[in-house]
Amino acid sequence: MRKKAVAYFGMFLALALILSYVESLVPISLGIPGVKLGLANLITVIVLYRIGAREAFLLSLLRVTIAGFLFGNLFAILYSMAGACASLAVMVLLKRIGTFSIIGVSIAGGVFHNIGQLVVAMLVLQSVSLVYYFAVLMIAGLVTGFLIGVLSLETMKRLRFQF
Amino acid sequence: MKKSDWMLVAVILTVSLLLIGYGFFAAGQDAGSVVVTMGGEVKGTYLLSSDQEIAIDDTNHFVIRDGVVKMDFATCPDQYCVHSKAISKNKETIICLPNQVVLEIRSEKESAYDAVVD
Repeated sequence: MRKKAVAYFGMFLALALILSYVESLVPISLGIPGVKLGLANLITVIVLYRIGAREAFLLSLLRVTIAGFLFGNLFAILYSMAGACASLAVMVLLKRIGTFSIIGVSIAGGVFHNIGQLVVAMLVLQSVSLVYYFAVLMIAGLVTGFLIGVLSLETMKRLRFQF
Repeated sequence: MKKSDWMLVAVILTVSLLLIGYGFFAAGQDAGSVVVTMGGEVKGTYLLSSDQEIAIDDTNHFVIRDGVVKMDFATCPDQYCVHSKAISKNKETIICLPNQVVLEIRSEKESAYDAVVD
């Protein structure tokens, strides 16, 4: 990474951690675990579009690990990591395909974040009946992905830097 | 939003609706008992027809009353399981992720035991 990007990267990581914390203060009760606002994904998307895929991946890895130690527990890191990896992999793919806007990419990111978490939960608990949570989590991921996408778009319009 | 975005949304919604539909179909069958698993291992099977209170190790505790199952105690930090809606229909679940506990309703046809008490 170029020196300028390294400095900004540290700042982005700090922001992502703060957003993770803020998100943990807002309880969302659907009776189903795993529904989150995904605020920290805002930073992931911005880094993906303004710096690069590799940096976005590194950011996600660091963010999930550190946030897990700060605000969560060891198991939470496992689920978050699975969700973040699935989410980022799909986002990088869709961004490369090129026919999707930031909002579409973010929607897919949100949906696959939840799918990733649910698949890992099903593996750990060895329960196939969790598959019934898929529908709600996919729709929740769609909504949060859309909101983060809009937020990303508006934020990037106002950020004037390029690497 | 571009056209591809809308197509993506359409696919997601369609898959979700199909899954919901399948869920309703499965739930239509009779609910007979609740199966308790911890980390994938079956810990016990209890008939919904008899009111009872069951403790799972030291970490969770749930109640069966009037054919409805509700988790009323758990040692997990997030307490999602305790706040979950009570379950009574086939395939419904209450899960405590940190303690790896799953309470799942099974239909009478699938129940292998009449009652198994730990």
